[in-house]
Order: sequence, then structure tokens, then C-alpha cells
Amino acid sequence: MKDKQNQINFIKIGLVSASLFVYALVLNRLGYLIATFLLLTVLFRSVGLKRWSSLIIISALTVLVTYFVFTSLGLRFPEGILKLR
Amino acid sequence: MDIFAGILYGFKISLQHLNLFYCFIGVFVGTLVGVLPGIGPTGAMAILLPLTFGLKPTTAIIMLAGIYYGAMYGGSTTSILVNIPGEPSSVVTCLDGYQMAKKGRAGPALGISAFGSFIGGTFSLVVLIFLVFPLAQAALKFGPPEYFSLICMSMTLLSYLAKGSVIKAIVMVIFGLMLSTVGLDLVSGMPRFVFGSPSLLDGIGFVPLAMGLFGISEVLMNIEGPLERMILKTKIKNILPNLEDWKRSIGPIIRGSVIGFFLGVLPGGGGVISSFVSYAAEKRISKHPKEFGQGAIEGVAGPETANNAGAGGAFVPLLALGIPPNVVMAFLMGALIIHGVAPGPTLISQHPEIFWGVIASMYLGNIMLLLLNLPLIGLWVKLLKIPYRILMPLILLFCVIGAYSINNSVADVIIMIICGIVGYILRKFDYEEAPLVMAFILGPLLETAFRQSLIMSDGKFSIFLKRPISGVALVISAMLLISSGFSYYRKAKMKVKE
Repeated sequence: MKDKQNQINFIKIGLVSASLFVYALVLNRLGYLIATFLLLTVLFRSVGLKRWSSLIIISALTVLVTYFVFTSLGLRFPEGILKLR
Repeated sequence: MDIFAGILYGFKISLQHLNLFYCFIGVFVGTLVGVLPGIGPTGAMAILLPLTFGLKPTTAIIMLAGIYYGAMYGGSTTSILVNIPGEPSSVVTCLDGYQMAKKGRAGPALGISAFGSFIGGTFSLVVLIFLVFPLAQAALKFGPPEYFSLICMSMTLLSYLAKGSVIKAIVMVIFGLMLSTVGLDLVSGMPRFVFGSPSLLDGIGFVPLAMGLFGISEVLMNIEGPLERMILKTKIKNILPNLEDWKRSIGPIIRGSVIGFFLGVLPGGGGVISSFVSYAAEKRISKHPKEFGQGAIEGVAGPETANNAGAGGAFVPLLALGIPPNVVMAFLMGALIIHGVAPGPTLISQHPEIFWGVIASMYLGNIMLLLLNLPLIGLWVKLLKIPYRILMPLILLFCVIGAYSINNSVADVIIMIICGIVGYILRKFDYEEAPLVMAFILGPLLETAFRQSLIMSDGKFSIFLKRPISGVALVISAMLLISSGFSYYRKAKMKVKE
């Protein structure tokens, strides 16, 4: 039982760290919006959110909200392939 | 400037709208991270550090300090209601606080911990002012050899007082020192340990390192834990402790203030050790020690006071000597350095606005916290119910945005992620990150002091022992190391006999 739990944890942590790594590598190419959206879907999925519809809505909302809040604070994100303005 | 004028000046600064606003943001965020699972005060400070770059140094420090002592208030709430400490220094509060809540006395427990924190915090600020001045005066006469030896002593004490194994703490200190040597040589400007990577030329950034070690690795640790938390279903009433409660708590609060303050001054001290020592002291002198662990109000009042008093005490070495005694103070020092302010004995005369402004803001912050935590306790309890799985991705995202925003570069993000994974592995094997970060921030100071001393003495090492203060500090560090070696040897011998 405990071994199995350990295995699940190991996979989860591997998945989360790997997705962060990949995110950092593709951030400049894909741009903040797309890369972060993909990252958040993976992260929310790995903490147990199962329904695809809610996954997509929550991730999309978070990306848009953080994008507008932080750009209004003067931060500049990599634009990548999708340009909002 | 005498003390009275200084305090007035400090209030004038901290009452400016902007400073007042950021002080509130700080204590609010502090309480929030104290209450919320998955992120502690160190993690929150690391994440918010980049956001303070645009502020004035005074305002930045006011906010960061607010997070620190605010988390102490918030942390006790989770200890009492959920039996999970929101941050390390409220671990002991779980013992009696949770039992009190189980018996339907969550109200008085929360109340006394807020009042105790307030009294401890205020007490330590008063003593702080009277202690910092003479110390800073004395420190003005220190040269590089004194600084070198004092930093050595503080790193030894830090490992000596570590929670777990002393050897592991020393390993972490050395690891931190090694990491701090990456980048351009401080004296000759030669690149060291950069392995041809241009992004390492400036050295490893303090912010991505701290964010990785305290933000990311904490989240990774928490992925393993249970995703839902059991919150005690109890009505919170009688928040104001009654006369009987006060009678029993006033002793522990006074003792907690004193114990907490002086332990806070020691390197490696701060809130955690203060609260443990206060709990042990109260249990020993109590007339009814059996009640401890069953919901004794003394067991909440003492430690909760001590950890806030310790938080104040920890400012003494930072403000007077420029040597941070614990990780949180290392963060504040990092923030000062980023803003181009040199912490040390000259801070008070060169930047009186920072010194007095921050101190006065802590008085105001403590009052804000009392108002935030007593009438609004219901709000914080509701926040306890936020499921962790919603938070985890958000915390990670904020770390990424924060690291990126430092230089608009992906290199910092990658450094942060690597530090996060390394930190997770270290935590798994019971290595503490605190000594690593402390050594990392003290490393450049240590190296500069060392090399300046050797230049002064034409390369003779005897300079460190010939000067009295420096010599005493080195002897103390040597004795600490030998004594911990001895106790290790004895333990090993006992094991062999068994």
C-alpha cells in the first residue's frame, strides 16, 4: 500500500517538475498565454481536477487574469506566436 | 538623533499613505500565508521579493517584515483549529491549542494567542531600540577581521542550533558557501565556476535560489501530503479571554516575551526555538504540569508570545551588525542589498528613514494584526477551507512569474526550477535549506572580509587571533564545533555498546 502511494507521489512530482522544465524551455517560443495555459492544465490535472471542461475553463481564466493584472503592473511577458495587442 | 526624536520621525515615515498601505498589504499577506496551506512566510517573501524592486527600500522592507510577523499570527490559527502548524514557529501551539479547541475553547485560545503575540511583539520592539544603538556603536569600530570571525561564529551557531543533525547543517552551510562563489571574483573580477554560461557570470541570483528552495520545493513536498484538511467543527465564541484565562496567561506572556527576544537575537534562533523553549519552561514551572498537552492555556500563551518576541529580537543583529541571524532576516538583507543599501552599523546614521520607519511600522503592523485577527477571525477560518489543489498550481505560477520578472529572462526561471527540485530532494533526506540560504547570502561578506583582512596583514593568518574580539569569536566557534563533535562521538559510542 505504502509502496504504491510512494510510486504515485513519485510520478506526480516527476510530472510537475518535468512540466515546469518544459515550460521554461518553450516559454519564449510559444509566448506566455499558450505556454502557461498548457502548464496550468497539466498542473491542475495532476492535483486531481478531473473534468476536462472545468480544467480548460479554470486554466484559461487564470492565464487571462494573471496576464492582464501583471501587464498592468508593468511586467512584460514573452509574446510568442499569439499576440493579444 | 536621540531615541525619542527617532521614534517620532519613524512614525512620520510609516504613517505616509504609501507605507501604511504596504504595511497593511504585508501583514495581510502574512496572515494569509500563515493560514493557507502549502506556503510559508519564507516562500511568500521569496515570491513577493521581485514585486518590491520598484518600491523604495523603506517601503519594501516594511512590507516584507509585515509578512514575517503577520504569518506568526496566522500560523497560530491553523495550529489551533486544524492541528497543522501554518508555519514552523507555531508547531508547539498545536499541542495545547488544538486540545483547547476540541474542548470548545477555540475562542480563548485564538484570543490569547493574538494578545500574547501583540504583547510579545511590542515588548521586543522596545527592547530592540535600546539594544541596537550600543551594539551598532561598538560595531562601528569593527574591521574586516572582526567581521570575518563574527560571520564564522554566526554560521557555526546556526549549525549548532539546527533542528536536525549538526553535520547535515554544516554540509548545507558549505554547499551554500560554494554556490555563493559562482560568478565574477569579488576582488580580481575573474569568472569562477561559470562553465562558459553567460547567465552564470553575475552569479546565481538570490531571488531565484530562494524561490526555488522555499517556494517550489515546499509545493512539491505538499503534493505528497493529503489534499484535504480536517477542520474542527466548533463554534468560535468568547474570543476575549476571561479573567481566569488572563490570570493564568500573564506569567507565561511575560516570560515568553523575555525568552523569545533573547533567543531571537542568536543566530539560528528566531521564532522556532523561542516557542519551544518557552513551552518547555512553562511546563517545568507550572503547578499543574499534567494539564499540558490536554489544553492548558499557558501552553498557548507562552510560545505564541515568544515567537513574536523572537521575531523582533532577530532584527537586532541585522540592524546593528548587518549579519542576519535567520533566513527571514537574510531575505530582508537580500532586499536591502538589491536596493543598494548596505546593511550594517552605518545603516542607522546613513539611512535613518529605513531604521526608524521600519521599527515604527512594526508597532503599527502589530496593531493592524490585532484588529485583523480578532474581529475578522471568521473570515480566516473560511479561508482554511480552500482546497489545496486549487492553490498549488497558482503558487507555482506565481513563482514562475516572479522569477521571470527579475530580468525578463528564462534563465532565472530555470535556475529557480533546478533549485526547487534540489530543495525537494534535500528535504526528503532531512537536510534543512535554511543554513544553505544563510551561507549563500553571508558568503560574499565572509569572502570579502577574509581577503581584506589578509591584505591588511600581508597574508598572515594570525591577524584573526591577535585582535581580541575576532579571536574570542573564533575560539567560541571552535568550542561549539568541538562540543558538538563530542556529543556526536558519545552518541555513536552508545550505539556501538547497545
